[in-house]
Amino acid sequence: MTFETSNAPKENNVRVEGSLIFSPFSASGDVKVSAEVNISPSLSADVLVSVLSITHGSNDTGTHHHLQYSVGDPPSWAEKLLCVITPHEKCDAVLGDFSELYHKHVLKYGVKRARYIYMIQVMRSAAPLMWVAFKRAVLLLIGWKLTG
Amino acid sequence: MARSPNSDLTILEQQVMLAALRLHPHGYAVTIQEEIESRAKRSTSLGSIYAVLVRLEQKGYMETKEGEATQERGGRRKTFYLLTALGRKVLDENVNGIDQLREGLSVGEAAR
Repeated sequence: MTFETSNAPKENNVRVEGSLIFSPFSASGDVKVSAEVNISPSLSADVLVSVLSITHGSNDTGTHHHLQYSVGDPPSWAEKLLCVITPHEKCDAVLGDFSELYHKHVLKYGVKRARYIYMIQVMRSAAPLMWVAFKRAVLLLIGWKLTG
Repeated sequence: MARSPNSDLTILEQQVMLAALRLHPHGYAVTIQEEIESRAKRSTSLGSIYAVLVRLEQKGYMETKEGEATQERGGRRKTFYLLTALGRKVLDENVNGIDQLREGLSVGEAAR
């Protein structure tokens, strides 16, 4: 069962409304969900969602469920791109910083928007980081030419 | 005594150094970016911050210190940026230069 929030959780123990997708079956039409989300600031992988009630049409399940809401991972191609354009010794720290921002954005805006912001951030960062890499390459080339 | 033109800092370099000084000794790229955004109201990408940090490190104005790894960073360590004595001196000269030029001028009033 996948839980997608339309209103992203903003702080610990907030009430959210969203849509539910039942796997392997998906519910068509409006599915209303009332849930309590417990987010630990240090939690990186999952957020525990306690579903209080699920309403589909006039049917209210009235049952309480607990499910894991995955915060997902940043886009892997963007991470690879970052690693390519960042100086080798800085790669770990840069990826860590971007990952930290991603998790902050997941809690603030939700997974989809956080992934989008991550991609935009990488695009915006590409030019200055590539310039650093270019200057580094030129300096190495000059050094190599001078030393023969 | 006149300063060497090589020790001139750009506005972003000054902002990065001042933010790192404010956050000393726990300033890293994310917090430096947030500090600049909240205090200087300037939105910059992490890449621009990194480009400046690398440049300042190469010039010997900043040094790095390995920090702790957290779960939300995917187990990756933080790199803290600290100003060196030379960095503090150069920053002081640059900021003082602007202060000297500003002395006696009411820049804010002129804009109104």
